[in-house]
Amino acid sequence: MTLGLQFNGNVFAPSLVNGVVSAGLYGLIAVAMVLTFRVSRTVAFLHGGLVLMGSIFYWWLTTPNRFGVGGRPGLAPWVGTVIIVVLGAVIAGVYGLVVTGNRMAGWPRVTLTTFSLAIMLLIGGILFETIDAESQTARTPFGRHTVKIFGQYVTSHQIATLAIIAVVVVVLSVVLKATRTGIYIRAVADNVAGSRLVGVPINRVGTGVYAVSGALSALAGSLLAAQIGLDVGGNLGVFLRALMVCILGGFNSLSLALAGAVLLGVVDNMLRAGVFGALSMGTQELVVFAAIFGAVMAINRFRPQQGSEALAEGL
Amino acid sequence: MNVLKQKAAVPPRLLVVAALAVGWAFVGSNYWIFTVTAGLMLGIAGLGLMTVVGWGREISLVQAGLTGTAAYITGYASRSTEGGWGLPFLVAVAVAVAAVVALSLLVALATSKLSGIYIMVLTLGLQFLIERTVFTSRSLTGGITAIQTPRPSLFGVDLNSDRSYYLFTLAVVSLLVLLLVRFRRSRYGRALMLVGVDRKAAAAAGISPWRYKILAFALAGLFAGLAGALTAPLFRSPPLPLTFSAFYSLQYLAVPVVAGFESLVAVVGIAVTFTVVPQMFESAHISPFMLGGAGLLAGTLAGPLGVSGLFSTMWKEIRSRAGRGDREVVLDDGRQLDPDRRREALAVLEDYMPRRDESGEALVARNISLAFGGVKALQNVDITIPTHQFVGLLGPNGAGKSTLFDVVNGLRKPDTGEITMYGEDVSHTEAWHRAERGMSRTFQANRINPDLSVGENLLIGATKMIRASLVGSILGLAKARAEEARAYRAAWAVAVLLDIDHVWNERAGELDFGSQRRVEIGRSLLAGPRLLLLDEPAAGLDAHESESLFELVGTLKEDLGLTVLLVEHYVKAVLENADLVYVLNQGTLMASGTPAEIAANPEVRAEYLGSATYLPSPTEERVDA
Amino acid sequence: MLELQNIRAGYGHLQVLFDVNLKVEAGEIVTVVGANGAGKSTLLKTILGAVNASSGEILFRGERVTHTPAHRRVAAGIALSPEGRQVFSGLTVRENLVSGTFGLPAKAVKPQIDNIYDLFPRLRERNEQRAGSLSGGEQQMLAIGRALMSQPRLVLVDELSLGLAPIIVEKLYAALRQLCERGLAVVMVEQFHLAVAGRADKEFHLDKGRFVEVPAVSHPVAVPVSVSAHSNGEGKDR
Repeated sequence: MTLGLQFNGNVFAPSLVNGVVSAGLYGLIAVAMVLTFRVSRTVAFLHGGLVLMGSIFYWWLTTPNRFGVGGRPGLAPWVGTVIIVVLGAVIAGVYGLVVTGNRMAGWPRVTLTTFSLAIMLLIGGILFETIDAESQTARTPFGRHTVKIFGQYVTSHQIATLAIIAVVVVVLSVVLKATRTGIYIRAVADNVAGSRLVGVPINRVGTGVYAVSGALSALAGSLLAAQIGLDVGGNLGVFLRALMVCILGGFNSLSLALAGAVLLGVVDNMLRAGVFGALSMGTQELVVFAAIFGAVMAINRFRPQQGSEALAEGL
Repeated sequence: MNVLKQKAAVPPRLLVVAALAVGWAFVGSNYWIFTVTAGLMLGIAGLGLMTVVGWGREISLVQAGLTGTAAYITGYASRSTEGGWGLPFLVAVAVAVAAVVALSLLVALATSKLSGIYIMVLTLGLQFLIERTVFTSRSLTGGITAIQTPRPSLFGVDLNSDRSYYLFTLAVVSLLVLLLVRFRRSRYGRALMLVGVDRKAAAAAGISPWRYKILAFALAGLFAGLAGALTAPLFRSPPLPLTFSAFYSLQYLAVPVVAGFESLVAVVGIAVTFTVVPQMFESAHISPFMLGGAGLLAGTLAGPLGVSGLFSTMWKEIRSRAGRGDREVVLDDGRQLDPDRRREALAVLEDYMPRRDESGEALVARNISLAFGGVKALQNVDITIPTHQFVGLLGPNGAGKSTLFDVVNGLRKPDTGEITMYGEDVSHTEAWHRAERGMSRTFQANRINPDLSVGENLLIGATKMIRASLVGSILGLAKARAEEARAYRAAWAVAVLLDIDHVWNERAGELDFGSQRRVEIGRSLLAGPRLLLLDEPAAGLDAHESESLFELVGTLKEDLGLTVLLVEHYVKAVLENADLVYVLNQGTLMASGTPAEIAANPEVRAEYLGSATYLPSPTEERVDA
Repeated sequence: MLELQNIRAGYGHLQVLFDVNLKVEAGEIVTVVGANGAGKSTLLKTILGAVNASSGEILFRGERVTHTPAHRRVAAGIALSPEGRQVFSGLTVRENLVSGTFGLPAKAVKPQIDNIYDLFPRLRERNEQRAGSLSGGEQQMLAIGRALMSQPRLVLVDELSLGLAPIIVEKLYAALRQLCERGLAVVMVEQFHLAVAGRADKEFHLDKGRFVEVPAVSHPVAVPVSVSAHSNGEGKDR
């Protein structure tokens, strides 16, 4: 592992662009995770499974059979995307229905989190057992055009990813602030017991939020498949990045999470592109981990005391 | 008394299972012996997770990565060919274990005050880091070339045959289970169980949550290290990194969750099952992940006691239906404590309480101010608690009583002001540190561990008073045993005084509110306090129960020489029992004085007591509104 | 309006209410007095539907609602001002009011907010303020206002007088009386008899989950104000 750092200026701008673009993917998953956290006070590792599902299953649906071997349906990318999104919404919706329903809602956090870890493990197990995935990228629904921005070639797929996250963020902020449903969601995030007592339809709200989040993370998975391919480690790595990003915002603030996504995306890409000299993959991971580690220690040290003041703010 | 009989040094269940396992070594086929040995490795890693997950209630997602790291380091350090260090096997194991424990501690150290999410993400991050660094290093993992990690021969015993390696592993596992059993029964295990369930309560009981989390993670690392170290020689070459990937960490997690936190033998059993079943039903293509996922699911749904707990609950149901009748345990208010028993119990307690020479005021809080969220919760509050006095803190809702209480206790830091305890400045110390100095506190919402028995909950209070080292407790040395016995006797005495001795073995979560309240008070007494902080002790109790509770507290205060500060809404009881009363209103001190002075104070009556003429008198008359 | 028949309710194995029978007519104010732990809050939560009745029937305006979930009962006309108020501290006053409107058509929300503000002018001043920064009395007003948002026929109030100055309690009580004249029914629970003496149309005493006769031995009645309250939201999670 080389630890020598030098600054390579000419790779800086392109990797910056690339970084912002990758941030889109982390951001999508982060939004999904923050939403479900606010509604159930637990980290839904389910999304990790959905990202994998979105990625692997999308690949399976849309990649044509080579030499007639494979038994895959070979659907058009658009169709595949729609199927994935719906499937993600359905799985997460059912999960949300169960988890926010009367029976399970009162369980301790640790238990609910292990429950979602169990689902993630199951999804992973089923995927690995049934689909024999090859490590290649899947087809994108957004065409193959490229544009040059600041010396970096950006594909239409990457631009579309950014556009999607932008739209999602805008729609979400409007819904949360200005609609009654948004108020219900924020009420549940603020105080679950109180919400139940004033007639907020918690199960409905929870299921809906989970369904939307599930659709987002499954979508993120399919976008990933077209962007970086099917490497499980790589996909899980993106999920981990999204988790880290959420942590920085304490899972409560969507805007902080997005800012973190951009920062992380940029740093990640700079490391990979060699802005700081040629570093091995191991060193890259070490740097990212150290950054997260440092951030957590800082939070630990400087965190404000009041527990009940963790607010359910809007965006 | 039953309770003082020491439990068997080695649990009989363990002996039986171990004997069976040894017997099977001579009967089973080589293939299955090998498979079961692999299962035992998982068992060791699972045992390590038990401390963190089962008892500490945190989720660690790096156990597989740590095990793998240990396997590779052991292999690398012990082999003399292909760039290894050629160290003797045991030394290599020590190196590997040390490295892994260090990694495990890294996570614990960074997250001392943070909630479980951070630990989860940090461990997952570490898992990834390991996968991208350690697992990609050819020299460690062997890559494509076949590297040998031959079976060691220890103390002259050759472990080349699968049978002998199995027996060796079995011996290691049994030893480790025994170690954990001892740990669990010691004050360390009990304290860890409270930390896992309620961090604040642990802090108030003098147990530093951070230290215990670190201890749990160190143990988890130790076990992962041992599991890994034993794995490489089992397969005679380093296993594929894939078998220690993130998803496998999830599968490892399933092991303690399914087994439940009560039974350590079950942990090993589940681990072996997880390893054996996919092999047994090979044609059914049961992937270990699916099995792990299903297991984790089942274990989660079965509750904290896991699958083993399910069985014991079913057993209890059968027994209760067979005629034990109403399981509701309610305190019989009318019971009078036999004066001889009382004297005996008091004598034990007095002997148990530490000798502290008390001079000066028990507590002086000066110029305390605290604002948060734009609200000035406390403004320049001064209170003094004289030694051996019963001090009450009254005030309407939102006056800042609880906040002041938390500040005095150390759970909250004020913006300004100092606090001295018996002349010592404690303004910047943590709650558990103040607990060490003699401050003990109860909470409004009974923060006890509902899964443990009343007796164990009481004993948790004695954690700081038991002078037994970790090593001493585990090895069962005489001093540790004597200290535990002493604490048992004191806990029993407290139970007698608080009238909860008849429910000593009951699960605390099944008691009624009033009894749980007494358990909490009992726990705080066992810390040997000189200053007792009671947070709304009458909350949740009816008038009659409140009266008897206050009477009890008053008596204990007299007999044990305590100083008491309490926050209350039940004004009558405070005015009847306290020596000194402070009244807070909107963050400032409105009045202070004796109960009679407070009851007569016109400002207090206008703002708080209302127009009711309230005078504490033994013959109660109806008061006019 | 409301009828409880032989209701038993509790939390899991913990049985709190035993064979409770209650009838409330339109326009009535009914008070239930009981010590801490007697089951007052559980009673209200059972009527609302947040706690499931293990046996017995609940009839609201003639319909069986025993197994109807809470939010449906709110839509049907029952509302609760909870113990400890439970306002959403991170939401504004206006948003808090909106949170109680399940079942109300969207068009009716704004006019209803105006109605509530007419009833509690102090809240109108604080329209955009975070509910967490309101005083105790204002939060109680908000809690009741929020309950009234869904245009209920039956309002359940848990410990109205908790930690409030008597003047404020009077005001709130008068507001409720006003609404009762228009047909609203109210069930209030209080810990101390004096807080509600002589104010209700009917008074019941709850003791360890059962309705009992007014106790012959006058339990030492303590001062009517400042009864036990939970600080809002504190100490819930680790």
